[in-house]
Amino acid sequence: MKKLYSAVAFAAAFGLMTGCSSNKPVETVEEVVEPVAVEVVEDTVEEAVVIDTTFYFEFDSSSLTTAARAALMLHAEQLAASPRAVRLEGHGDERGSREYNMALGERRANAVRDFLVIQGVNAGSVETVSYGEERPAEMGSGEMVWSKNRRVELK
Amino acid sequence: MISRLFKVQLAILLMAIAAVNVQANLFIEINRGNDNPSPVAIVPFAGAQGLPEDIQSIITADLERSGFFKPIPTADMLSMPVNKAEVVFRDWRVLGANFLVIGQMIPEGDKYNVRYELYDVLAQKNILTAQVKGGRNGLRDIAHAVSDAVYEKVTGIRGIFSTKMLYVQDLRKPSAGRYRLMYADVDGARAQVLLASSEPILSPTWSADGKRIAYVSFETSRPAIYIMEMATGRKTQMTHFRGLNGAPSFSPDGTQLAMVLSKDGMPDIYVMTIANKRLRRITSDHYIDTEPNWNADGSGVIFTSNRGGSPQIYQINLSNGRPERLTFEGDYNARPRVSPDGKSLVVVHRQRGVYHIATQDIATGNMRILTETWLDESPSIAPNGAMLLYATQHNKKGVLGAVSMDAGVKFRLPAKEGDVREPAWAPYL
Amino acid sequence: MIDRMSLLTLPLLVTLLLHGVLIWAVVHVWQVPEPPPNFKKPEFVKATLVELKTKAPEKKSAGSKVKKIDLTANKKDNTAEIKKRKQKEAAAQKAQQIKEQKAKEAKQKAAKQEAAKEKAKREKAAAEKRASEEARKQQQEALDKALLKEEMMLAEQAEAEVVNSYKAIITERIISKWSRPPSARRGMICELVIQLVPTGKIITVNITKSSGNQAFDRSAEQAVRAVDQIPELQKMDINTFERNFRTIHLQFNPEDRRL
Repeated sequence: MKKLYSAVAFAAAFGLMTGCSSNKPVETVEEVVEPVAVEVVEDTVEEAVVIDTTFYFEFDSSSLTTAARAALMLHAEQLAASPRAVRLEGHGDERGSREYNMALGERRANAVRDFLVIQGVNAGSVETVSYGEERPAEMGSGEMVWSKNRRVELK
Repeated sequence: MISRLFKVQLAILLMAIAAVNVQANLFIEINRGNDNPSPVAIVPFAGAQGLPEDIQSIITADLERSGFFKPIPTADMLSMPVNKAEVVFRDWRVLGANFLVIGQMIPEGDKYNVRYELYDVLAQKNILTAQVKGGRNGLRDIAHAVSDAVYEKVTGIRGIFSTKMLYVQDLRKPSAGRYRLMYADVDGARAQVLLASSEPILSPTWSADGKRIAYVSFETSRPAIYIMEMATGRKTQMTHFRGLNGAPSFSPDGTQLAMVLSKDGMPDIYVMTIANKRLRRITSDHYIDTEPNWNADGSGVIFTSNRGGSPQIYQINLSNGRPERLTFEGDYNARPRVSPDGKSLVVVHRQRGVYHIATQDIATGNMRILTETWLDESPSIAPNGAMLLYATQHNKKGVLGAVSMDAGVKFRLPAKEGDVREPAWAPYL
Repeated sequence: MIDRMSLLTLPLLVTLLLHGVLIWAVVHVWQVPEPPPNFKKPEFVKATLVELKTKAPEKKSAGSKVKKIDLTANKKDNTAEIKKRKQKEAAAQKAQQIKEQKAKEAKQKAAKQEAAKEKAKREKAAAEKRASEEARKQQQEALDKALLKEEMMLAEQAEAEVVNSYKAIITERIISKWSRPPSARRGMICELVIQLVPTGKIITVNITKSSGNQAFDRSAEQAVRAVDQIPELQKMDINTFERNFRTIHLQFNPEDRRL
């Protein structure tokens, strides 16, 4: 589902080619792929949930994926238009020591923050917090689980 | 004739010399050992029947877990002596016992005076007679005290059965008390909740005198370091900086707290004077520096850093700020802890993608992997330096394990609800 | 005249004959002794050594069981040869004595005529004989000494092998019972003296040098006490036991410890 949202957001972003945020009611997302979205442009910012808010990372890496960059560009646009305080929560998988993973989680959160700042978001409005491996998105072990836990959540 | 007589004389002389020589020199060197656990018989203590705790089985479990002893089943015992007069060494020799523990519980008001004796069955002699007093609700303490005394007498190392530990429990379901900081006997019994929170709690650690603990809590929705006084339960927030606030470690004299903070950019090591919260930055670079732990004499801090490309252990001298890399084996060594004698480290070591606990001799750099399980982390050394607790997984749950520093003994503590992790072995109180 | 002459010629002839006999006897004495032992000795040494060496590996390959070398077998071989030689010597001596006596009897008959001459000659011969006997005795003693040494050496060698094989058994038994306490460290040394009886039972255990660590000392003592008895020692020759296994010094030195 998240992937689909991100694809839709991506398409919408190219369709608009403006600094405006893309706002679509959640219930319409799945069928609307064409510039119909333009009609709901003036909707409120809080409906930005359609943009991916979770960004995944490779093992021991804080490099942003292409999908993450695209989504973050949309977030940056939104934030430029209507600034708000953003919290970036960095996470890691369960492997390795906890405090070191805490540092890795922070590195990921910082990578996302730096990208947003480069995109024009005010650094002062972005807070980063690392939870390391303390709050996994999914319980269990194995790469399927771990890949879902190595993430940054934008809130 | 003369010749024969001479010959006899000579023979006697030579034989005598030979005999004397050989007898003086028959010398055998034993330079190896088998190290099988020593069989020990722990006889049920007289007067212990019907008590809320089974003294004999607590002592038996303690000694068995130490790895040095192999308790003999009660059912095999030929006699149940209570005092010296009743001890028949032959009965125990037959069972292959090297040691024998007997005792009796004498009620004194609402307390018990427990008299116990330890025998060397092979030498047929008493090697320890002692007593311990305790109340009805302190029966476990009594049993652990006996275990400690027996262990120390036989091994020459102070026992750890009466010691405590902290650990973190995660109930794995979002709730107000999902994360718990626990305090328990080192065998897992008598666990108490020190702190419960809907937000993560981690990195519990003890002061050297065992009177205070430090830990990290996210209860403000951001990490902060706290100190708690064990006697009163009073909490003091020590840090609440932007970024990381983690990995607290008390200096051996208890006046300072080493920690990791990322308030100035990357995670760096800082030392805080507890009395005035004044900070001193110890590392300053573009890499991750974390997980500080004081060396035995407090002259330096050992920590994890990825400055060399992969996480490795470094030691920084606090007087001259000079860092020194300590680990070189493998591409992942983290979360160091220094043994009480300051001679070795324990770390989380990755080998072929699997995380184990390893120990390294600081002087020689020789590393040895101690655990065989996966996803092992958070080693915490016992105050006698003979064993460590660590966190691992079993049946998809976080559990605590213990391993002796020579890797000869391994056992798991009983599983608890949810995940259990980050054991912190208390010092002797 | 003729009668007087014949009267004179008879003793003269007898004298001459006796002289001849004496000379023969002297010569005989010189030649009769067995071949010079100095040459034979090395051969003997060599032969036995070779025999021993070839014997040893066979026994080793016999299995992990105790290598037992039959000391008496070797001794028997040696003593047999010596006995033979002794018999030979004795025979020679006896023959010699008989001849000597004969010569003496003849001499007595002719003594009065040429007493002085004869005496001188006889004394000379006797001296020669004494000297020869003395020399022979010395040689014999040297030979005996050498043989003894050789015998002792071989006996010791054989015994050493027996001792070593039992030593290995005792060592393994103790190692299998030695449980070092976790406080044991490399460099700790504890020495014990133990006493055994021929049944292999260890009857006393005494610490003669402490490691300084009571627990370590006790572990060593317990290892020995747990072994209790080494029944294999019952198979040992009692003299070998008495010489070697009555009292044993043990040194406990945990070289295999990591720390």
